[in-house]
Amino acid sequence: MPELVQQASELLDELHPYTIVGIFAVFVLIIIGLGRLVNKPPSRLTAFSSETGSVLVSRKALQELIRQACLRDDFVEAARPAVKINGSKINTSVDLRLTSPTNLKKTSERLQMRISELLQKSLNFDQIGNIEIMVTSFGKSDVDDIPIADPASSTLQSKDPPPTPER
Amino acid sequence: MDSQESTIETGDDQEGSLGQIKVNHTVVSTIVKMAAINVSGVLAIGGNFVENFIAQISSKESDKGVRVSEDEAGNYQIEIRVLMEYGVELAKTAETLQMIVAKQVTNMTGKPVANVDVIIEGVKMADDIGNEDPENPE
Repeated sequence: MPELVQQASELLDELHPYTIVGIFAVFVLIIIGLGRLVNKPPSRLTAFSSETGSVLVSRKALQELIRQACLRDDFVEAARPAVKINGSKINTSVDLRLTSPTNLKKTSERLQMRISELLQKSLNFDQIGNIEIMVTSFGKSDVDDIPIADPASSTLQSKDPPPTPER
Repeated sequence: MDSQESTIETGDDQEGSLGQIKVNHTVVSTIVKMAAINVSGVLAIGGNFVENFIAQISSKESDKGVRVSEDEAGNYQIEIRVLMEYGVELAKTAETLQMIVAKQVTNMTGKPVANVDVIIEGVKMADDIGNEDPENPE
């Protein structure tokens, strides 16, 4: 055993300090990578479980569901949703490109309502967290007409999910 | 994919039977797929890209998107990955899918199904997938 330590010590002495730093850096990166892999959020959410089995929804499916819901709105040109699962709660954020800067607030609120309704109705999800709508850009034809606005006003955040409208 | 062969229970009176009837899990997975694709709201059956790729190279095309195993009592445990149509009630469709698959497998194999786990892998518009291979959504 002492021979092994001596050999390792000799090997370290022979190595250039930069090489040692490099090896150490690689080691740290591997540790960070493994840590992220272990703490990776679940990619599926259980919609419900019963005697007949459970129904799980992948994050990709949720994102696609929200994207399609947004794209059905006349004022939405493109949507990029992101879904974060915190325990049993779903937090959603959607980056939007609207066709025009008009009706920004109304469109955003309508989408929050639609997404919330969709998750409750389609999947029986009750634990709906924040639905953050971020308008990132407008259609090319209207770029010159965009008024200079307070940047904070382009982000709408719903702390409590909006109530499901009566049908 | 576990491809162990399973045996259908023919009842307590085994003496009168002509022999055992064995149903391969691949056959069960084919039954599952055929039952599932006929459920309204289900557009396609299939796992993610990696799983589909593995199924493709392992020439087990029929297993793609369906996993069949057995519990300790010998009942089927089925896991199915599906792509659903946008606009349908996903939870309700998944529940219908569970019931239809369980019923069909029990009817055709004579063996009870312990559970059917449904994994909704994606949601698409029916038009988007119209021209694609229904069993290969990726």
